[in-house]
Amino acid sequence: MKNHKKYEELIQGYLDDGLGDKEKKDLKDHLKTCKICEGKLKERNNLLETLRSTKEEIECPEYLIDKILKNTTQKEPKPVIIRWKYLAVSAAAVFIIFTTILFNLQDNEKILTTGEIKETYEKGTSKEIKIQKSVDTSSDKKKEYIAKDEKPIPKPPSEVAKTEVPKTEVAKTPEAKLPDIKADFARAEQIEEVPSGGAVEAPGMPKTDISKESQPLAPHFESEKVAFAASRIASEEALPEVSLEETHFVFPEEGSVVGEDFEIVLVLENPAEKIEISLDGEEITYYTKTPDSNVIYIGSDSLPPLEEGFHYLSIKTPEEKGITFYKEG
Amino acid sequence: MKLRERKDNEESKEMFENIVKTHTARIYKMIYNMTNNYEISKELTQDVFASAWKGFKSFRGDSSVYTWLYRIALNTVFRYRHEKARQEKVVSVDDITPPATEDNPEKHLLQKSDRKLVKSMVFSLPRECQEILILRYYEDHDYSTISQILKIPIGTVRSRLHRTITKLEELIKEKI
Repeated sequence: MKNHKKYEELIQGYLDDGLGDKEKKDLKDHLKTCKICEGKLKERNNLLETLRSTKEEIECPEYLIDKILKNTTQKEPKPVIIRWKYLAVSAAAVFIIFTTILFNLQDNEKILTTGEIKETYEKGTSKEIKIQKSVDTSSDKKKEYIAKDEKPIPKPPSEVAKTEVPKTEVAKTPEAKLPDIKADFARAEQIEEVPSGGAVEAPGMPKTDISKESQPLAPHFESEKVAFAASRIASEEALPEVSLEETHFVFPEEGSVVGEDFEIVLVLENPAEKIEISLDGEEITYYTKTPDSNVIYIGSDSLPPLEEGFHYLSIKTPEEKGITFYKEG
Repeated sequence: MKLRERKDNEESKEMFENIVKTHTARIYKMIYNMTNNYEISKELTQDVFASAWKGFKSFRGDSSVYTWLYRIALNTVFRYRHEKARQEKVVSVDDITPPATEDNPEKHLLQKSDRKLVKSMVFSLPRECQEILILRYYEDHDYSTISQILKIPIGTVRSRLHRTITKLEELIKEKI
């Protein structure tokens, strides 16, 4: 019986043409004397023939190859598409909101706003971070003004009268920047809890009054913040000769109107057809609508989904000087 | 993109296109025999080559291209069947009604209905048994190629085939 089992496997190998010469001879010798194994050989041969006959022969459709090639080698990588229509609507909406707020404020002789953050991050002889938050001083809610400058950056006329703030050290690597930035926001939270009264005192800072008397405004802007941003965009002289290496932003911004829908506006010194940014290490390319435009709007819908917290953004190309980065809700 | 990289990319594309042109029909036919459905076979064949294209740059060429493709194809089909089985009850071999018993069952095995029954029995076997039967009796690969595709020794190919056929014989004897 043991022998038959051994030869059964050899029969399988023989039928599959998978035996060596020695095994083949051994089997043949055995089959001459063993009727059981001879019967087994025939039986198994029949079964294998049956098995082969169950295979269905079909034709492969010719278009299948083209379809495969289209989905593999001929497939273009997905470009990042900026929805200009959406951005245009957003820009119009932002413009209307700002205009309305400004007119209201003019009427009431009040300063400002809904809580907006502008960040300017530049590199010159030293790096600077300016985080500016201003809140409606007429309300009983939050009031604050935080400024952290290492070096005074060129200011428009509207800024000249503004209170100078002390200089502090800012680390030069992005990793080292983080604690400082966090500290700023922690400080901002503390300040937010201070009861309203027109003046806010930040630790280590002189009293800074943001009442309208202390903040002369540019001719066409009630908000010094808007005037400041506008002047920087409008005037090349106002842009310091520095390049933006890396900046950060917090999403969503606490105490501000920055929510899920926001827009990053990049103002380049020179017009560029495209801009390559790195957002948390992921490189993304954006194209301007027209090659002679130097403003690029990046809507939150064309950014990867953002988790809550700090995000690093740097501009890879063009490598030019004077890039203003800010975001708005 | 560097010139070298671009050149490599162009070469890879050309190589892969040749692979697609050479092997699509064979892979499609094998998948059809495992699924018995034209549409699903077309979709799965596309999935096979999409997976192959993704992994093509990391394919080191340790095995030949078609053994690599067969491996991807088998994995794709079994993954599909596994997903499908989760969604619907699989028809087991016990559910198949055998034809009326005759004196000589082997004679009737050649009939069309019996062939269908045998095929359904093949696909009721465990995955390792199905794979080896398909590669040997549908695809007509020799032991050496089968051992490369399944990454098992040649001796194991023969013993596994013998074990599988014995199991199939028992099933047929039970049902017919």
